[in-house]
Formats: sequence, C-alpha cells, structure tokens
Amino acid sequence: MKILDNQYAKNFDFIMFFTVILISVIGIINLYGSLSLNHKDFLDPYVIKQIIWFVISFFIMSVIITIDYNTLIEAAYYIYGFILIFITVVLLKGRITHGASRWISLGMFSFQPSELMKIGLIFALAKYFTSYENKKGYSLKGLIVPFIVIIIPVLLIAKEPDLGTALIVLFIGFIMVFLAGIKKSSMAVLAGIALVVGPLLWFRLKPYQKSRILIFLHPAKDYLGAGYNIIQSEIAVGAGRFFGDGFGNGSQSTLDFLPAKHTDFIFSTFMQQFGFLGGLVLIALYFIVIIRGFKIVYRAKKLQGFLLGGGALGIITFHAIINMYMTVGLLPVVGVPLPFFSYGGTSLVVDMSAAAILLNISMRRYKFQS
Amino acid sequence: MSSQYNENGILKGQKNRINLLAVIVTILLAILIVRLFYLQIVEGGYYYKLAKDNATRVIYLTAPRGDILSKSGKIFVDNESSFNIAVILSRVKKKKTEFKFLAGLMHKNYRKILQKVKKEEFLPPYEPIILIRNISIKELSKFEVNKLFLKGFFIAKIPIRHYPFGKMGAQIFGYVGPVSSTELKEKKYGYLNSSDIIGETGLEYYYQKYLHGKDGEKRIVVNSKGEPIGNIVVKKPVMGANLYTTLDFSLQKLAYKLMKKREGAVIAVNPKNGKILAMVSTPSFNPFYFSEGISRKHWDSIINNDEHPLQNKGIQNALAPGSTFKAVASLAALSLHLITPEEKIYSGPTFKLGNAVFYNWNPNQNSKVNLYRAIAESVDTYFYSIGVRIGIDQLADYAHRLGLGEKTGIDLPDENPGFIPTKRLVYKRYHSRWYKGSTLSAIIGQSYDLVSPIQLLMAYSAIANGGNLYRPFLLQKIVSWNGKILKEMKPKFVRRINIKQKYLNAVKKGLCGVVSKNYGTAINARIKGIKFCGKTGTAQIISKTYSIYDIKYIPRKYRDNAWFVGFAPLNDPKIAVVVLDMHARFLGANAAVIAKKIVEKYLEQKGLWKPPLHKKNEKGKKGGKNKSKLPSFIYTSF
Repeated sequence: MKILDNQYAKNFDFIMFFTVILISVIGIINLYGSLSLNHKDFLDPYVIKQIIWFVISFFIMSVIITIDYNTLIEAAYYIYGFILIFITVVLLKGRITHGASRWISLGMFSFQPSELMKIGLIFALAKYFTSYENKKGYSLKGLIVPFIVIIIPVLLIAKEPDLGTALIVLFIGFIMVFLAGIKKSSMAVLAGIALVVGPLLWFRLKPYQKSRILIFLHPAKDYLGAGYNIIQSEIAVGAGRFFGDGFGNGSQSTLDFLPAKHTDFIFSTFMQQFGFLGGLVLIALYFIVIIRGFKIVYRAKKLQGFLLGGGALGIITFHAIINMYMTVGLLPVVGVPLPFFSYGGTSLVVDMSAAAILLNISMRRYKFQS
Repeated sequence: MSSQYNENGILKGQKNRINLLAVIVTILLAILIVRLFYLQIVEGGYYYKLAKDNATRVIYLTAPRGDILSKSGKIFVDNESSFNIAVILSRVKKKKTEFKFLAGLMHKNYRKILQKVKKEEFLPPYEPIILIRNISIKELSKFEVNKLFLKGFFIAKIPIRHYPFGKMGAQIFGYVGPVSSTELKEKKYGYLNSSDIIGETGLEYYYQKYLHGKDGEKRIVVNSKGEPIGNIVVKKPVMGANLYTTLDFSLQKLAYKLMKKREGAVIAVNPKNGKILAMVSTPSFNPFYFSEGISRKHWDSIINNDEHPLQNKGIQNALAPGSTFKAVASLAALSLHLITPEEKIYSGPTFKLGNAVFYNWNPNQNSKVNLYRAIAESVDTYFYSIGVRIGIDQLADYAHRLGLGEKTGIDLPDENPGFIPTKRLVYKRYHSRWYKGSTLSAIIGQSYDLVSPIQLLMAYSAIANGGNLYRPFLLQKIVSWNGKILKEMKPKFVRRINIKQKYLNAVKKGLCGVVSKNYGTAINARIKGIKFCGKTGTAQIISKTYSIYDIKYIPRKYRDNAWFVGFAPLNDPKIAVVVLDMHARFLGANAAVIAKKIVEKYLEQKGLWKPPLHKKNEKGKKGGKNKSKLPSFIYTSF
C-alpha cells in the first residue's frame, strides 16, 4: 500500500494536520508555563510525560492514517468488543483515583480506557448503520441495536463513576444516530423519554455530582467548597484581560489556586497567560480544525466515511466546547479534557486518533475514482 | 454541491444535517468568545484584582504607639513586648491532640481555647490566631521546651501598652483598646486596620492621630496553601510620635500619692499660662486591662463602682463649688459697688429672708466683718447680705467672666461645662422660677451652681495672675520618632476677665488671709516664707440636717465634698492648685493640706522654697510610716 500516493498526498488535509500539531505544541508550552512556581523545572515530569505521550499519539495517528478506514470499519465490532471488555476489567479491578475506578496503571503512565470507548463506539455505529442502511430514517425499532451498543458502555462508564465521559459517549452516539437519520416521530419520542428520565437521573447522582450542578447554578454559594474550582477558573480567565499576564505569569496556576490546572482547567491557565487575544487565536485554531472536520465529513463519499468522520468530529468538538464552556462557567464542571491541549495521555491519544480518522477519510475520499 | 455525491450513498438530508451542526458549533464558539469578552474585557479588572488578592497576603504591621511622657521626658505610658501563643491552623496536623496538649501544658481550659479558634474561623487557614495572650516568662519557657510537640504553634511578640505607674493618672492618659468595627467605619479612623488598637479616652484618645503612627504593610506572595513564595514587599511601620505633656513628674506622683485613698481630684497649673503641672483623679483604674479588650466581669466591676474610677473628676465632674465661689461673689459685689473691701457689715449666726432662715456655718459668728475677714473666715451671713442686693443674673455674669459654667477647652475629651444659674437658664433647665432665697444659696456656691475643678482652678488662676483667663492644656509638644516636632502647644490666652485690678487685689488679700490669718479656715496650709492664698469650700450633697458631730453616721455618698483652691506665691504666682476631696471622711478634711504639699514640692523644685530644717530631718529618717502625714482630724472648711 502506497502511503504517499500522489492522490493521497493531494487530498491529505495538511491544514488540519498542522493545526492539530500546532495546538499540541502550544499545549506543551502552555503546560510548562502553568507549572507551580516553587518547582518549575525544564525537565518537569508533567512536560516530559506529555512530550512522550505526544510522540506516542503521533505514532498512533500515523498508523491510523496508514490503514484504510474501510479496513478499520471491517474490524469495528472487534474494536468495540475489546474496549468494552477492557472497561469491564477496569471497573472490576481498576485503580482507585479520585474515588473513581476509571484508571488503569501502566507503570509510569496510567490510562483511562473509558476514553477509548468513544473511538470504539463510533466504529461500531458506523459499521452498524452502513450495514443496515435506512434511507428514510430509522424508526425506534430500527434503533434498538444501536441503542444497546450505546447504552452498555454508557452505563459501565457511569458506574465507574465517570458521569462526564458517560454523557459524552451518549452524545456521540446520539450525534451518529442523528447523522445516520432518524424519523421525526422517533426523535420526538426520544426527546420525551429524555425529559422524563433526565429529572429521575438526578436522584441517582452521587452527592458531589449533584453539588457540581448546583454550584454551577450558584458558584458563590460555596466559595471554598465545591464552588472553588469554578470561581478560581473564572478568576484565572478574567485576570488575563486583553493581553494576558504573560507566559509563566499566570498566578492562578503557578501559585496553585487553580485545581486540575494541567488537565481540566488548562484552558484557564492559558487564558490568564495570554489573555483575550491569545484566547481568540486558540479558539480560531480549534475552529479551523473543526471546520476542516466538517468539510471532510461533508465531502466524504461513502456512508462509512461520513458516519465515522461525523463521530470522530463529534469527539473533538464535544471535548473542545464542553471543556472551554466549563472553564468559563457556562457549563457545570465535568472532567472533560481540552483536545490536544490538556495534560494526559489517554485524551491525547483519543483526540489524535479522532483527528487521524478524519485525515484518513479526507485522504481517501477519491479512492474509488483513482 | 451537495446533491452530486448522492450516488455515493450519502443522502442530501444527511449533508444538510452536517451543515446544521456546523452552524450550531460556530454559534457555540461565538458565545464562548462573547463570554470571554465579558470575563476578560468587561470584568477583567475585577478578576485581575481578585487574582492578585488571591496570591498576595497583606499583613499589617502595627506601628508601635508613641509614648506619653512628662515635661522632662519621664515615661508615663510606653510599650513593652508581650509574649502570646499563636497558632497557624493549616500547619497543625492533629488538632484535637495538640490543642489538648497545649491546654494541659498551660493550665488552660481546652474548650475555651477551642472557642477562641472557632471565633476566628472565618480567617483564612494561614492567618495566625492568638490563643493565649500575655504569657509569663515561666510559661514561655514551658512552651519553648515542648515546642517539638507543638507544630504550628509559635510565640507571637506583640507590643502592648505599658504603664510603669499603673493607676496613676489613668483617666488623664486614658486607655487603649482593640478598635471596634463601628470605629473602623468612622471617617477619621480611615487609617486604621482591624488589628489596631485605638485610644479610647484621655490623651490617648485626644491625640490618637499622632500617637498611632503609620502602620506598615507586608505583602507576601503565597500559593493556595498559604505558603509564602516569592518576594515580600514591606512598607515599614512608622512609629507613633511621642507626646510630651506639661505634667511635672514628681508633682504628678505626689498628687496621686496624696489622693490615692480618697475620692476626688487634684489639678495643679501654672496660673500664668495654663500649663497643667499635675492632674489626678481617684480612685483610679489600671488601664492595662483595657489594652487587650477588657473582660466583661472586670468591666462591670469598674462600671458599677459608685466612685466612678473611669471618670476624670477634674474635668468631667461638675459639682457645687461651695465657699470657693465666694471669691467670685466678692468680685461681683465689688465691681457692682455693692460693697467696699473695708466696709464692715454685721454678720450674725443666721440671716433671715422673709420666713426663711439661712445659717452661718459657724454658729458663734456674731460681729461686724469686712470683706477680708469675711473671705478668710468664710462668713456666710456676710455674703447673704450681699445676696439680697445682687441679682442672680449679675452674679452669673461675673462667674462667666471667670470662665465658670463653660468648657475651659482643655485638650481632653468629654469636658463637663458645668452650670451657672441665671433666671432664664434655670427656667429652661429645671422649669422652675427663680426665688430670691436661691440667690443666697448661689452666692455661697450651693443650690444650682455646678463647676468642674478645672474651671474653678482657671478662675482662681485668672484672679492670681491679674485677670487673664487661659485655656488649660496638657500637651507640651509632640515629637516624631526622628525628633521632628510635629506640634507644639502655645499657651492660649482666652480673654481678660475685665475686672478692675484693685478689686482683684482686695480679693487676693482676703484669700491670703484664709491661710495666713489665725481666724482663717486653712491655717494648717501655711507655708513658711511663702504667701499661699486660697479658699476652702464644703459643698453640701444634701441639705444640712446632720450636725457635724454625727458625721460618721452619714452614709458616705451623702457626705459633703471638701474643696480647696489656691495659688502661691501671692505676688508672682507660680502654681495654682485645686483639690476636690469628695465625700470626705472628715468634714473639710485636708484638702488645703494636700494643696499645700503640692505647692511646697513645686516651689522647692523651683528653688523658691526650702523646707524648714526639722522637717528635713524627719524626711531623712524615712521610717517607712512616713506616709502623707496628714492630721486625721482637721476642721478647716467653710
């Protein structure tokens, strides 16, 4: 198989590729700038680990780009099943961190298999919907299998408990159903169910999950408790003002006022350092990635590519918007990383894989013409 | 463009959905930008400040308060270091065990310590909380020995007000206390921090602004755990300025020694400029207990003491001047040509006005007396006969000329203006018509007359110095820490009292007779070689139904107040003294003797007088029982 076939090279979305790389590099630089003042070290384990993860995900990305996505979709159910088993194992004997058994330890690195589920899910659904294509839109009956495919990992992940990831998996599943086509009447019924089940779910939430939502509504209510995160995050963002405090000068992160500053709240540390101006640039970069993604999905020639690309784009877009919304107080705090930017191997691998899938699709859109 | 790919298995509807999603995502990102604009541009300054506040801790460094000194620089009030046990909660690992250990070690109640911590709970965890104040050296060493087991606890050295002479002059210097939240809101205290102490009374209050100095600031950059990181910016505190009073150290000490066991006040002043040389009020209190916030129990005991230890009786207390008022009455009568000094008026044991009978203090009085004798012997009936001829408003006019019934303007808070009756004022204040008989009471300083000791003193000073009324003052100068004189008090001349010199001289002659003549009422106050002039007074608390002999059966608070006010030497007055001995154990007791001792001491210091030889020997013995050698029963007043 020729990777650098002229046709491939011509259709390879370099803009998206380089934007993703650029965001990752800015992310690593930003990570360095957000280190605590009292142990700022060029060889900081956070930075080193992230660079290693970047290399790893770059490798994975290359592998995914190389293999024809159609081949990958053939193996979709195996991928899905494998990851599902993985999650079950984690649930049964995963390491306990933050009161949740969502991590698996791999020596120096730890890994969150539930993140991988997102990739597994989009493959499985893409395969299912191509295998059972319904041009008039699916009825509820036709959605039973996809529903099961979606709901099993969602419940498992929610059980970990990782409500944020579970919800995102649910959303991604829904987006794919939406793209595959759903009857309007079925849509209405689903909306109705969501309206009924949603409030009931409230009573199933853990106390800290409830308080996160309550705090989102009234952050000042619990200044030093659950509201602390969001208030500190808003302070960090606001303090950046137009030009920012400058690289390495984000006091909220360097002095550790911002919790989860390397992961969930990395955007806030960036905003304090680089201000509104830097924020515009970063959002523009994400916008480029997402819009290129939309273009790729739009231009996809086969339903497999369309659905798989839509799902992959959904992963990146959900991550980006939910994370940024959460850090500026527009959404409750859920543990969602900023794609390519947050510290953490799993999320980097997943988002890079999603980008790789999109690049893969873009590259091979004229495959059948050549 | 969309329809051409339909043959590849992708529906147009599906493509439209992609477009819809792209629009939604774009809108969502636009909302994000709007939100960022709001947080960073609209509210950016606010959040910037919050971030800075987050990371900087301002620790106010309380400026050491200025000292209060005597004229010559002897310390009345200064600061000393107190040792306090403080804790930084975030550094204590096992709160319960460590607090219990500390409580046991210091013999304190564990629960009380916990309460203190609870009270300060709103403080951030890195802020030290003072647990036990002002520990002794013994306790300090106990703490130091066990320091290893007390992580997070430390000794905080805090300057505390120190009073080397305890209760002496406490009302004059005043006390300090932690600033209250209401005081903090006052505009004039804008420079204070919540941890400051503030002058609450006396000079501490009056010159608070100077004594306080400028608080310093320590800005520490801390991380979220409160651990100091990075640079510390310090604004050094500027020490409060030192207050040099006009008080004469040894005179002040003597005055307090003489008054310690009594209730009343003594003030000595330079009659020619109003500089106060000594001022005490008794009984007194220990201001030390106020500086850290006084306990409820202690406060109640001070407040409920009916001898009012907190009151500066020299200026905040207005009462009947008694016979000391006769000097004023004499000046009025002379100026109004009702009498001449030499004119003899018959004065019997009683004086009848209509149906009312007015008594002379001495029932044996039965002769014609002139003004000199009338003053020296304090003949009431002489003044009654003036009283029937003088109008109360005329009398009040002369009292006012001498500054009675108005604030003297001394540099101390809460001065009592007193009250000198006129027909109008009495009606206004008591809704009572003026009776002629009341004038007879008023002329001997009874009934409605209310003056404060300082007023009386300044009035007599004006008589002594030839008619100049001065504003009394305690402040000599305020000197900053680097020796700069910030404020210097110049004597303030209020006005000429506008009474002819010859009348003043006549009254002065009478006043000298009080001490020098054998029939005078203050013969025990004679100072050899010095013309000491003055006037005794006894002011009734209730009407005279008790005879002098059953004094010990009269409840204390109904016993008469004894006065003496005088000056010396006659021709070139150097000192004027007022003594108020309230509810004196023995009628008229010793007020004049107290004044005499003070005058002697002062003139001796000035080299104007030497104690007679035999007295010196007595001093040399210092037998220990040499406490104010006052005769236990001297019958002086009236």
